[in-house]
Amino acid sequence: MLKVTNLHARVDDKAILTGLDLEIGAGEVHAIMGPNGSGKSTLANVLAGRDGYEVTEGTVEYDGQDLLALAPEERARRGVFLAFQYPVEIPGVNNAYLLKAALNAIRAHRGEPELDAFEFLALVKERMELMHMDESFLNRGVNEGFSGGEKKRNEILQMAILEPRLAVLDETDSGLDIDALKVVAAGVNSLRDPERAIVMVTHYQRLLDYIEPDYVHVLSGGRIVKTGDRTLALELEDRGYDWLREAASV
Amino acid sequence: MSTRSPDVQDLIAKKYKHGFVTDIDADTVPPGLNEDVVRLISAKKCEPAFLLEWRLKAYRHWLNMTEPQWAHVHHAPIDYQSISYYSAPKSRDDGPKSLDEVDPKLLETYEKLGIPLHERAILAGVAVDAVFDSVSVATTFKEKLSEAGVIFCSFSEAVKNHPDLVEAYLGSVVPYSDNFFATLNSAVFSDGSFVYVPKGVRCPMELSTYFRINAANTGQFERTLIVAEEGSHVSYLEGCTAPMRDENQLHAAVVELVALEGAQIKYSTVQNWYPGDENGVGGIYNFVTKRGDCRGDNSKISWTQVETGSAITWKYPSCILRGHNSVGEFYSVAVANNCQQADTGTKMIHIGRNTRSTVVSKGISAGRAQNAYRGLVKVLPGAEAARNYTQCDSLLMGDKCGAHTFPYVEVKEPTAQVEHEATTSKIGEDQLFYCLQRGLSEEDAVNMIVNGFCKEVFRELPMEFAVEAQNLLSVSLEGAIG
Amino acid sequence: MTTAPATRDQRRLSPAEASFAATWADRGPGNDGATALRARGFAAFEASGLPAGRREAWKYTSLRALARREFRPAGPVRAPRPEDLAALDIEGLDGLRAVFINGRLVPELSDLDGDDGLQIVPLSDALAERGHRALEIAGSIACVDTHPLAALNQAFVGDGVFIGVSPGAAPSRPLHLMFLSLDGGSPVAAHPRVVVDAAPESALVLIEHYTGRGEIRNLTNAVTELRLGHGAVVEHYRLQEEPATGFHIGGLHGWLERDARLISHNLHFGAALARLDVGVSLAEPGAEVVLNGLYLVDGKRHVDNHTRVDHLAPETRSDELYRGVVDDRGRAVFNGKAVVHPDAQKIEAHQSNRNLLLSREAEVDTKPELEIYADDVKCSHGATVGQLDRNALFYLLSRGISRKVARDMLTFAFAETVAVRIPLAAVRRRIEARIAGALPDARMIGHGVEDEA
Repeated sequence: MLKVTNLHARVDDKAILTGLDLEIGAGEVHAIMGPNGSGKSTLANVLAGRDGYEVTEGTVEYDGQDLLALAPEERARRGVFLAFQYPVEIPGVNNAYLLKAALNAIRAHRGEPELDAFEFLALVKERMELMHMDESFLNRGVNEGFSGGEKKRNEILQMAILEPRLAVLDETDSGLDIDALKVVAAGVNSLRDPERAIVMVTHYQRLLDYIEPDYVHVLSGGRIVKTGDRTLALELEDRGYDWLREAASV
Repeated sequence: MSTRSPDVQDLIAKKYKHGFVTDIDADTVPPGLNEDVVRLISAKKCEPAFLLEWRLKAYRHWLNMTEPQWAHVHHAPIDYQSISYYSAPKSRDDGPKSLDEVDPKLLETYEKLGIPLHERAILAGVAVDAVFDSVSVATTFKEKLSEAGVIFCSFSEAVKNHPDLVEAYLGSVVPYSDNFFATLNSAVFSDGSFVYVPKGVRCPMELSTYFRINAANTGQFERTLIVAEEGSHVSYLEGCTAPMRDENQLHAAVVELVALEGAQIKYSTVQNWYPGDENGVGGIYNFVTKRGDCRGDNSKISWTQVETGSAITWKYPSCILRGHNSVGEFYSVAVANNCQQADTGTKMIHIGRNTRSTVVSKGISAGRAQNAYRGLVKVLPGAEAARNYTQCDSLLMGDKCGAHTFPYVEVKEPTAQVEHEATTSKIGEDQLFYCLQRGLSEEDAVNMIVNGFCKEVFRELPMEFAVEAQNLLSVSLEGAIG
Repeated sequence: MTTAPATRDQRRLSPAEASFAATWADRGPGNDGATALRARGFAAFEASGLPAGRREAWKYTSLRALARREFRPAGPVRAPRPEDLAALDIEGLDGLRAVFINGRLVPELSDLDGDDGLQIVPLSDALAERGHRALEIAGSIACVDTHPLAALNQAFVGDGVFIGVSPGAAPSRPLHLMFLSLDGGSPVAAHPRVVVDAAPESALVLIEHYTGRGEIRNLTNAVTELRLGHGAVVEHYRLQEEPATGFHIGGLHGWLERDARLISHNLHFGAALARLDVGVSLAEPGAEVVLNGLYLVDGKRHVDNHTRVDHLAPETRSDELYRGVVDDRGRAVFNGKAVVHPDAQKIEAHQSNRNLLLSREAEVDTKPELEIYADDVKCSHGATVGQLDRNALFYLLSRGISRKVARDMLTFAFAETVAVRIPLAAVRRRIEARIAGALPDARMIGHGVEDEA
């Protein structure tokens, strides 16, 4: 589904990704771990097409297409979803409207009819229950005044409604207490699907206790330096990242 | 209910530490201004014809100008005919070659000011071009600078030895017709400093000048010109104190900075001229025009000022961000106590693409002083992606002072982002009480809080200046509050 | 022979000034209780003339185009048909309505029977009545020396209305003043004045609605004076939707006594050139003013908002939020000033002006000012000029929303911040429709799904 080859990317003239390779198939769950500054969030933002992240070399193929050639909204409509590390507050734009506009844009792209207000509301309410969210949030501004946990839950709710093919969760576990983490993890697990790939970018292996990955990659110095299964994450928990960094620099 | 403690007034009543007069014979031109005086100044300095012509053009232009009225300051009318437009210490004729040759009285003066010139200069690695009244009398570290190809000399010397450079750059940032005081300066400027940093050179030391005003009724018309060639870096320090005098003294200086491609100029000022007494008698009128031109791409000009002195300050160090990606900065602490009036701020003119400017202004008002921030951020069409951030905070100590903010924002470019924020509040009683409860004296507590308030600016100052600035601040504000 | 320097008297009058002088010569100061008032107004206007660029308060707004035009006083104009009037009206607003055409009250279209202690009197009647409160208030709050156009209005004071609210009264319905600027052949100058006397502990909701039809080339020069007795609360709306060919100049001047509260909503959508001066004096402790403002400036329009709050007494508060969206070749000017006078301690004054600049040829000039002569204050102001938040834009794009829709959504949201502060639903809906109307892809943004379903 996703094939990243020799990806180099810069932010503010600083090289962050330095030849990253990654292949992800449908139905798989990948965890990308790494120390701070290793390029995890850069990878997530490059995949979503954020301004200011300049790809200098390499390719990203998504369903056989050049992902990097697409505008952010086109990527989203083709099923690429980024759960933001820091979801943006947009006062004045209410959640329900954002969700509806987004969902209908994506449905239109798929050649599906727009949902009417009743259908939409029914869908949203169902998914909100899953995320233990109060209905009142629908008429609030996007992420406006949300706690850290609410913001992260809102990201997963959007994912549940937009039903992406490739979901990239950027540090979705950061800032969550254990109860919120469980809710978020349950939400993500319910979205595991043979047609959907999920990439979790995280610093800690804690999230992986609740969402079990098929693969674990370690990102260091802008490249994947080691790939393994779930046990690699536990090893990292024990030994930290330094041994890998040393290994990588050799 | 008054929340101030009873000893406020005692504390406010601190005296100017640097108030004394040096008894030196000055070679002074009689008061008054006309074309002959302008010619005389030029002749005394053996200036080339282009400079005399330039002075005369300025003088003739000045005759048709009127003093600006827009500043938030008040003073009695200035009689420009009662001012003497030239004075030089007699020892000038001998031309001191080293510190040993300098008039001992002068050196003594510096000692009183707490500036052990020779020691300090060596210890701090600072070349000091000390200006006593209008003419340079001591210069050190010239050799080290000339090794690097840096020219650092008095303006008069520059006119003598590098007339081509002076002609090329003089008035290119602040034209002779710029404003009333700059035009007056252009006609009668006596001396000042000149710096030229050649291409690719990082100036090996901080350049520094101390100004003093001494002779009675002598106008001070300094002129400073700094040119940084492509890729060069220079940091210039200017500091001043003045002796106590009852007569108001006019000071109308002009500073021009030119930064060519990739060049960086950092200009720091600590200004502590005599502010007048508690009743507003005496003190310096400080009407200064300072402007930097980021002429080349990727250039940067940074102004940092700590203004604690003068009866009236009228000063807006500015940046013309002409080169693409050029950067302008203005960091300012302005303190006004007793009857001082300050109207100061900056102008940031965005012309080039992706130009950025930052303005941080901290105003402190105490006693019966009036302190105004006046700023302009202007983004012209085509200054794509220009950015400005302005933060402008005022701290009030005492219920008789004033703090004012007059920011002008003019934007004609839709990709620009301009942000101005300002706050005004009195010094935090909670913070004060907290410090007192921890055993600090009131003065120390005030110092600590005020220094904290100004921290963003102080950290922009070169190290040796930062300490001096903090001391100055505490002296200036001694007892401004309870 | 030497030429004497030009004096005010010898200065060449612009066509507009000459036409005002001719009207004055024609009418004189009248012979009711307001004779002196008019004479003072005209003298002040004569002394200052139309403001030119050298005046700081008019630095960014030129009246040259106005000065070139000759204006005649309003004459009779055929009243609009009911359906045309209805088309201009604020839908869903249930209130008492008074209709003015080119400044003149049209009784047959108006409902002046105030209820619940509300008194609505044509201003000319009030000024003719000896000892009327209108004579006390008119000209006492709007200063003719600092506001040349207010002086001009005062020179011709008579059109407009006096509104009195009795002590403790709180009329149940809002009062809607509808000022229509209509084509009267040649350009017409209207100088309506609204004088409000809100007695102690009274409450009033007042909507001044400036609208019109056609390619008018008129000048509306309106002045409102509000006197709020202790504890009075006035919610004031000023909705300016005149055709984009006219000149609209206005003054809103309030005087607030102890614990009085004025909430002003100043909404600019029309006129080729619009200038409003808001001046509020918080004269006694506890007085408070809230200033909300929104301007959408497109085409070649020019909108200038000057606000000034004088904190004359301790423990007074002001809170100002003005936002503008400037597009095409539009130009927006904002000048907000808070003055804290000596000994006015325990003050809070906050001010925010934010501008979205959407086009290459548009311009924003903003100047938020503070003048503070007391120390126990909490004052702040902020001003921004910029574009839509890039992070928010990316967030929306990353959810599959098109750039065009995302931009409109965010623009709407930007303006909506002011709209949500409008309590009167009919006005809020109209504002939201106005904003959405300017943003074709922003429809329904402000409304919850529940509303829609």
